[in-house]
Amino acid sequence: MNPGKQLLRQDMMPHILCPGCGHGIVLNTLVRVLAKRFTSMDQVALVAGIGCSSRIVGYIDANTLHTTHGRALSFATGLKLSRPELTVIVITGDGDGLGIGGNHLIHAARRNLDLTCILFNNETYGMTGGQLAPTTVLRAFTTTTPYGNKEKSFDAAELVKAAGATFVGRGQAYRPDLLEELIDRAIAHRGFSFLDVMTDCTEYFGRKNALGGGSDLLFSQARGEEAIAQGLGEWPELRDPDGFPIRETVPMGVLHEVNRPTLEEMMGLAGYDAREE
Amino acid sequence: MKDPTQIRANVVIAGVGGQGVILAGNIISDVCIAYGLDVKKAEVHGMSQRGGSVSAQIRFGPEVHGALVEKGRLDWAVGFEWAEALRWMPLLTPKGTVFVSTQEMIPPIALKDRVSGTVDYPLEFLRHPRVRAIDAPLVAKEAGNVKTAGVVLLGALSTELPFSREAWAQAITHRVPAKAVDVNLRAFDLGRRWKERVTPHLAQMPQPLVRQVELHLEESWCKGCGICVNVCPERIWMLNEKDVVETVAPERCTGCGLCEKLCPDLAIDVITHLNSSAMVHEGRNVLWQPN
Repeated sequence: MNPGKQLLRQDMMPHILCPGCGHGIVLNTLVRVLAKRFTSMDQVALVAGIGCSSRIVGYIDANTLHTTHGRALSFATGLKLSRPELTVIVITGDGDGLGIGGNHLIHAARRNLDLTCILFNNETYGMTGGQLAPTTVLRAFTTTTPYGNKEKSFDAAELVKAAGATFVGRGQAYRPDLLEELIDRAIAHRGFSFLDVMTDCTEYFGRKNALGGGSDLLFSQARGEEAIAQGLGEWPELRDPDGFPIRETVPMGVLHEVNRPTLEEMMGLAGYDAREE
Repeated sequence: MKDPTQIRANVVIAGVGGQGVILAGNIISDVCIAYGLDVKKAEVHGMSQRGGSVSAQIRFGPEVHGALVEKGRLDWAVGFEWAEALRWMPLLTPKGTVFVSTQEMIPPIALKDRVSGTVDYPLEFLRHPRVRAIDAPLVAKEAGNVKTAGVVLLGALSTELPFSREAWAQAITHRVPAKAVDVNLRAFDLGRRWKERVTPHLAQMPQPLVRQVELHLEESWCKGCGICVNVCPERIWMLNEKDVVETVAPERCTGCGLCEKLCPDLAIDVITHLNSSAMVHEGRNVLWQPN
């Protein structure tokens, strides 16, 4: 039984995400963690920008803000400084957080405000029609790269770690148990915690790169690790010799964790210690 | 006890692939050779990788001509797995002894219903007067590594054979990996200390819990992506003509919850009830354990 289901705004369901969208799995995991961690959603605020990923805050019955493109972290910073007792979770996508709002992301990490930022990385701009995103892997096809992507992609986790985040992790939609633990630890962490969650865009990234439907694309997250390490899967085919779609290998789990005074502590904000953890 | 250089006996080790049956056979052979005995050994290990039967027949004495044990001539059987030991009962002499682990390793093909129980093992076997049932994995865990369960049973067997503890220890040291020598010798000594023990009454033993699974599907939320269909190990989900999933065999559900966790539309709920059940594996309570 998913205890998080009671946190959904039932009248909003079913959600707008496409069949097999990895974002739905992250939503599933996120509400599960929220239900286990918090007795009341009054102390939780979810802030999102624009994009498929950011739409998911609309389905969670907590304090939610749907803000402007790329500026979720800016709104969250203001919210957290005025209401330090809240647990603020920022939901953003790769286009939203790294493309349009990349500057806000690195500065939020540098300030070490006690926020949790979950970046849904589906390697494309899904909502606007599947354009090239800063996370699109080399040689992948998108609507704006019909001859394959020529640009190197961002490693979001390394970027945010270098910018000064005190907790950096990476999870996959394919591994909900690992993701659940990561989200739980990220929320528990004092300081800026960042999670790069690999999800899948079935309708654009999957279709443009002929990676198959919902479950094929999801299972390819598991196959990437060995197949690419063995030198298989010449792009743009993205397939192993048996014809199964495969993906690029990326490190998973908690990648970086240090303790450093948060901005709230440096500013001596009243009420910060009253928050429910 | 008999003179160890004149003893003539037949031993069978029976188990499942991966339990160390061949290794145990080699250890017994080494001990016999150390006493100058003639040893012949025959092994069956064809299907071992798939969890199939593995057995080693060892015949030793001042002079041995054939490796196979005749019906009614088996002196000792050591069962690393309960049902595997049962197969060798017809070969036992009237005075033969069986040392058997109470571990059950049920082949996948016999394991159709993992929720409410498995195939029934004949409990009478464990109460047979010639059978010494030992919870070898438990003892092995006490020694430090559950993989040494086979050596625990060798330790129990060694109490009925005239060979010295040092000869056994030397053979074990020679045969097992260097880093596992200590734990194996500990397991061997624990096995040697086995003795009859009266077990507590059934009602006092912890009762195993049995899982009952209920599946709920929010049909209006399902978008027919097919993730649950392909992720389910028991293949209980299917897309119908409306592209909505439905269960084809809910009774096969083991409650692993993969479909619930991987459903992007949060349409599936797997509700697991844990009920204590009367279906207790009584055999595990009728134990001979070392103290």
